[in-house]
Amino acid sequence: MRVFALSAGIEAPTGRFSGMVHSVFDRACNIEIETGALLTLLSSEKPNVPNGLRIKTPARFTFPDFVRVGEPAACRGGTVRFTQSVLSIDLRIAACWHIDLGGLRIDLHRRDQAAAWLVAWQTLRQHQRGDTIPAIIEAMARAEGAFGTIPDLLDATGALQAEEACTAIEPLIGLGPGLTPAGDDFLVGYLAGLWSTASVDTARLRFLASVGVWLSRAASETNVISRAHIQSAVRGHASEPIARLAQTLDRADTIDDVRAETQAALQVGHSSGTDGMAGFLFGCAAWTKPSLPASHCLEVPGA
Amino acid sequence: MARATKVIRNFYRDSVSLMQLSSTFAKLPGVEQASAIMASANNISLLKEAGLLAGTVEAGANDLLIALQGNAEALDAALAAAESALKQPAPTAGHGTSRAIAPRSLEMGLGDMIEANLALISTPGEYAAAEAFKAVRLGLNVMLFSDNVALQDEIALKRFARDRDLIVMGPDCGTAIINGIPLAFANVVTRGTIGVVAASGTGLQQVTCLIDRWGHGISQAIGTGSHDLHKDVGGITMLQSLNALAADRSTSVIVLISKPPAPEVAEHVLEAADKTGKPVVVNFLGADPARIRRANVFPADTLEDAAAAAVALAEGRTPDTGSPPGSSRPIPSTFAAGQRYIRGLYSGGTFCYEASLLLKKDLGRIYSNTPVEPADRLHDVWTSREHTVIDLGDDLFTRGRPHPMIDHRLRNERILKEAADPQVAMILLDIVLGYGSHPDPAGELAPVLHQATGSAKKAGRQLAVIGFVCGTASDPQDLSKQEDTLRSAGMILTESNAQAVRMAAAAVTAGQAGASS
Repeated sequence: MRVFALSAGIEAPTGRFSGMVHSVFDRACNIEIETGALLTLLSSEKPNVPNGLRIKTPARFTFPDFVRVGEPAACRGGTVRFTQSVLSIDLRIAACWHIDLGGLRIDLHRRDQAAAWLVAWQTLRQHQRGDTIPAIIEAMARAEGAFGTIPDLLDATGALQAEEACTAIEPLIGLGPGLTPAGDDFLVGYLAGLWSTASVDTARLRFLASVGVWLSRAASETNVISRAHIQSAVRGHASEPIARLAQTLDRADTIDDVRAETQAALQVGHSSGTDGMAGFLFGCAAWTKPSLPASHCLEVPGA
Repeated sequence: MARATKVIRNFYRDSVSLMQLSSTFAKLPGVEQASAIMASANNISLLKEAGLLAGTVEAGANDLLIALQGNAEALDAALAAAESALKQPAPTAGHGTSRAIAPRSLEMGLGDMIEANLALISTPGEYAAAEAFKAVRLGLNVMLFSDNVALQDEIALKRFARDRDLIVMGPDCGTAIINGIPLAFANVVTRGTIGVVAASGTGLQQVTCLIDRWGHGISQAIGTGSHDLHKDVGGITMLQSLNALAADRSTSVIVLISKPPAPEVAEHVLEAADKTGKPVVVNFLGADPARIRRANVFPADTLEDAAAAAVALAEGRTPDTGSPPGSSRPIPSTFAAGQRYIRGLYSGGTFCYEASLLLKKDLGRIYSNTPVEPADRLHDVWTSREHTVIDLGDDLFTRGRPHPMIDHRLRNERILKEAADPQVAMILLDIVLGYGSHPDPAGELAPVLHQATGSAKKAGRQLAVIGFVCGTASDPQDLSKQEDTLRSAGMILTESNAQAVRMAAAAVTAGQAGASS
């Protein structure tokens, strides 16, 4: 069965490559390619990710019906094929998907952007009340080593102290439930928030570079799938829900738009959306605290 | 309380499944606490702190770790049950874990409709070329409704598409009928054997509507955009379309329509037309018929003539070169002394230009915002002088407001203004039906016509309003109802623009209007 790729994330290889099916889910499939990088195939209703190919999948399509873990896969002539599957994926019309977080200029000193940030924050809190607390907070509360990590991370980031930030990050890597552990989700969101607010500030960019170098290595402490997300975040890339929310804050869109994008981001996974969102909003506020009424002060877990 | 663990190497389940597994394991008989979690170092520490794990565990971050706590005698069975549960296929993701994304790009649209081969692009001009290039790269033909695309971009785009055997209709292409589907401002016409290629939107509409009215049909109607026959563009789209219709078995006759093309381009197009092997009717408004005529090429003076010639050729007849129909019909009006001028208020640019050409032949100088001769340009477009025809669809009038085919307010105001001029005898109008146009143009116009003719009558004058409806019986506005409404409002209706203009011109030349001043 031949299907078309609708879009290719900025990091997704579309030229010649070989690899092997690493993991298979209903709506996604990972191929570990020769370089060690992970390519994620996504069914059409899934949002884009930096290392992913969104595929025009027919109704009731699930990857386990077509591919198996360990099956060799290769891309030749713009088409991905599997050795044992009838599935082939034509990449030739795939559009490049990319939202450049580094090009955004979120500055919470700006009243309109701070107001948009507040809408997202309130939406997150309402979601928590109606559902569960972010898994990262629960995990931190249970893990002694991680308790207090987020306040330390915020302090270190605010002071542009990369080494201290890495120390604070370490207990979060691979921490918590989920395929992509809650701590990783939080970090991915946090980095997206930092990239969205770094602007052209040399000191902030240098901080991001230093933390990124360390985190790229430290990410080996988590699983391959989650590691790929962290490594994308180190490069300033994020999945579509977070990236679109970042754009919405950057444009200081209407309350309804901000709320809609926040809710969309919160829907990701079991708790990944909540954790990633919490990380993103903390990241946005790490260098510039939003001017908020006292009733809306930040509640930093572990502080 | 006993503990048991199981490590499953390189095992990946999505987070929802892992949470469900944890919950399922916790409900197994004899189990008090359970966790199914990725075995990262931090998670192993977490489980130890939670009391679910003791000692060392040989597991890595890519492994799934199941940790159970409960009755010692029950844990073995529980672990076996847990392993068994893991062998079941992962549950299908429930609703709410992702959301369907509405197409937001050509690529996504193409994903929803893989077989599509044409993109209609209507964005502000500055973005249009880039979108069109994307579409062509995706293997799509393009209808580019947008105007204000730089000529250099148009040239590059059309060449790029031609190299890929694709056609770009436009920029500034407002009308097309492809495989029977009306696109943008187009009418619902019968399918048939006549193919039309036009660098003029309303020209295409007039010809296709008349062909339909006269019992024939359209195979394809392709708009080229208004700049295609510019010397620098070279008629790329018209030439491609000619070739396509020449090869199309369902097309027996071809019609080409344009305002005057660049001479070198016209020559090239006519040569190509002659080589199609099919009869080609050419209406290059204002062009010398002698320069057009070829063995297979038949010149037509007006849009109506072009439609008539195409129908004749489709029926195997030689096009009639005699008197055009309806030209001798008199206007049933008696004008007052001093009523001598014609004012044309058009929503279609090609109708306006055609009116200028026809009136100029009989009446001399015709002022316009889109004049045939530069010297006849109307410098104050808001005030008519002598014989004047206005293209109200010109950018001058449409900046910041809808096109007059959609919004009649500007024209209605101008009708009343012209009616108040004691020197005006006749007002020429076009009423364009079809998709995109106002849903009830006659309903918009009728009260204004009553007011205009009524106020002239009070001033002792008779005002003739002459026009035509460009539409078909299948158009969504209901052609017969539109015509009835207009006739009831006192409008004199003809079948075509040319007939309306000739009727008005004849009234002046015969002395019916302007007999005394």
